[in-house]
Amino acid sequence: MNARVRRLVALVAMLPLLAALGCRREPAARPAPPPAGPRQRGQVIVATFADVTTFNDYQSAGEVTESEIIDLLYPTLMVEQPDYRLHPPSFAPRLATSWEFSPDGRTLTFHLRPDARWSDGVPITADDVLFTFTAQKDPRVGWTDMELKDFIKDVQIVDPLTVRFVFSRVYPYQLMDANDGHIVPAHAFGKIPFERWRTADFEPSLVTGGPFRLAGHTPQQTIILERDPRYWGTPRPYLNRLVFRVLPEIGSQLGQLLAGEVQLVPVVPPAEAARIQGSPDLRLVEFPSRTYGLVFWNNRNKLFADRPVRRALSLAINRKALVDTLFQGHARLSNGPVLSSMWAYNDTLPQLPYDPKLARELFAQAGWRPAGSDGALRRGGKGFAFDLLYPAGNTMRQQMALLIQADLARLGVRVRPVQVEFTSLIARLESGDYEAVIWAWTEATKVDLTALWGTPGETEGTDNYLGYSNPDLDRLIAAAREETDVAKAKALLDRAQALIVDDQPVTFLYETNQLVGASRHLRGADINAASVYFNVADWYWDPR
Amino acid sequence: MMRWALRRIGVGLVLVWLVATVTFALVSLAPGDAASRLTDPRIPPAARERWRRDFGLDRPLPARYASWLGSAITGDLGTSWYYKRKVTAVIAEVLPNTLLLTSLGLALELAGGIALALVQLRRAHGTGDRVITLATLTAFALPTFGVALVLIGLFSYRLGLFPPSHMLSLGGETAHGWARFVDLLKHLVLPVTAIGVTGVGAVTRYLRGSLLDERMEHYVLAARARGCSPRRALVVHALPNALLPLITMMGMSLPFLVSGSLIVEVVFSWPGMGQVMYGAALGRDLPLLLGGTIVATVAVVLGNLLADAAYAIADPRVRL
Repeated sequence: MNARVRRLVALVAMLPLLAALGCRREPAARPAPPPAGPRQRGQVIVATFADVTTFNDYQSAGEVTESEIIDLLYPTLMVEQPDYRLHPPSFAPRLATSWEFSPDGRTLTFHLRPDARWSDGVPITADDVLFTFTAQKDPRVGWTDMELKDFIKDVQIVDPLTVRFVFSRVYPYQLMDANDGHIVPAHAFGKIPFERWRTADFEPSLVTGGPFRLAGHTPQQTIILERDPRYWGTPRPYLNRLVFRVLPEIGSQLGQLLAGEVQLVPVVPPAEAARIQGSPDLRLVEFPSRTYGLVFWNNRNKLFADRPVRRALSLAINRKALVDTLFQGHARLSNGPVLSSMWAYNDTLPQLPYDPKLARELFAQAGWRPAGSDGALRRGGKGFAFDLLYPAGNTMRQQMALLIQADLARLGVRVRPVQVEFTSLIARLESGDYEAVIWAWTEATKVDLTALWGTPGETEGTDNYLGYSNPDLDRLIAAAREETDVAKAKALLDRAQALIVDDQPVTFLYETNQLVGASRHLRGADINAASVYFNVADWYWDPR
Repeated sequence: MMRWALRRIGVGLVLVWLVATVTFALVSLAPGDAASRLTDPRIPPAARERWRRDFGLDRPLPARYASWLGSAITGDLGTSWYYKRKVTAVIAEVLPNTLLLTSLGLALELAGGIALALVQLRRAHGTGDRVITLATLTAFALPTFGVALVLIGLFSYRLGLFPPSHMLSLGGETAHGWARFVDLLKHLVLPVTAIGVTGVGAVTRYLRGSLLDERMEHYVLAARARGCSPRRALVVHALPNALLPLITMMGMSLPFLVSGSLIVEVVFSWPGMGQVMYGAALGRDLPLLLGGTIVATVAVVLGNLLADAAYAIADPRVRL
């Protein structure tokens, strides 16, 4: 045997070894024979960008997937409904079967389910609700949402299944604030003193109380939830397991979705939507998200201090072209500070058109005129030039910056797109060290314009990085916050929105849709903006 | 030898302290802090201030540094702000995964490089030599990201031979013994190949160059004159000497062994140091960042120490 033949033989001899190492592609869920329809079986593998850091709501910094997993493991008193298009969200029973306010509106009484149990069989009672409230308010625990409980003076146990919340004042979002935060087991979590909560590991012997319980967690890899046979809520989940696989890269997530290795990708970029739609095994679920994008003009900066100038900038940007190009039909133009999917949205707000001619006139009125051969805008010998910041690594925002740069260049405004590392960018926003930033906010279901649009101060305008201030607006926002009559609150908020749009402290760009890629075999899922897992108990696997 | 080792370890400790101090200063002076990440209108801004207080970020920099150093000297690297667990626990969880991946990757690089260089030298400047040179240079120039994606596309999605991601399959995580080992092996194939393919070029080029030099040395000619076969002269006599520059190269690779390849880890969802440290840097998780930096610096110091020692063993002319 000469050397070449020997090598060939060696290669052939290695083939079975290679084949043995190679994996068989196993179907993610057991194929079961028809009849199909909802029945208890199967599992769904969900792709997630990052591992969870904790299963305790009161240690969590509120990352989306982490919050969603905690919501599958722990109960809340009620379930917020995604009906906020019509009115402030209503609530359905969960741990509480019913609730009522006292005539003066200051006392809210919850009646708990008698059959509710923790995963270790211990009943869920008023003790747990009180314990949870104590943890929420304790500064040693350091819950991020602690302020939501500011107006709840006290929680009292009436009997093991009745608990009373006492408020210091009457305001529109009392139910929402009482409900916020998951109920945790006093008998289990209470073993760890509050001062150790921030660093304690709650995961070993985790006691839960949701439709699923924790069945396994391999750090940075997999979180396995399994149906809790003790779960007391209705309906009981059909799925045996819900598995979260950490895949930090969106390309891997989509590749594995297309290959059938995962069955759900909760965030699909718009550019990839067509691939999902083109696959016979997948379906694309689309709904208005609660995220909107905007350009912050630093109102403290002389360049952006004049209202006509900010308006001119908005008119000079072809926002429709930007939204259509980048989101390919999966976003809408935004025109105000309240999402168009919310009850409080003012649908009479004007949509600023793309009108470079009018923009030029407004610039001229403010003293900015084209000068020189390059047509650059000048006032008092100074050009109109600024840095437009966006978070590094965000290609979508990078493309936005380039489109805005091109639009404004046509009018003689010189824009320099600059990418800044995310945490540094936040620090620059906080300190006001910027000229303009492309940013996005994700809104809560509570409509409150105070933090973003109120005059910066101790309690108002705390997220107002613009330095924007309008005393008339402050009064309207404050009145709307107190107004318990929805129609009257809506009228106040309508006026507030009109004022903000008129001032144009920002340029509103877009409202996105969330795109979810799911296996065709996953049925019964009502995936909506409240949560991807809103009706997870109704999900079932249909192998056909 | 003993004195030499002690002196080097002493210098190493100073180096570790210096690097940790510079990292502490750089991260603390960089804009933004761990609490900045909480910017979300759904999280009240007061929560941010509370976090700053909790992490001690409201205290002056020297005070924070002093208390960190005080604990670090006693071996307490503190608690990760992001993972809410001991830094040592977080690192201990992912370091072995990274070591497994990178050491196999380096081994493949080394073995592949030696084999290819020897094949090339069988007929230097011949067609085979040129083809291998072109191929290894091309592989060296390829981005790891691209190689990884091509490997996944071909061997996972098209041929279905190897899993595209993770360390263990869903069933494998609960399996034990042999089944778990085989599952792990399957998952290692593609990421190790991605590291090996892109790294093999450098080893091959280095080794080919030094083998060419060594081959002309008198001792090799003498061996040939004694009737030694060309292959034996190359492998037994020239190769050990030609490996000397590689020892330095491998010593310098030790930090890569512990800090991991971020790109390979991200693409293959490998739970390693690269990913964890990248997250820590973005989130300004100072205790975890410092912990990781210390581990990497210790690896550099140790790597150099071992490389020097290996040199002394491989080359009797070198005295320590």
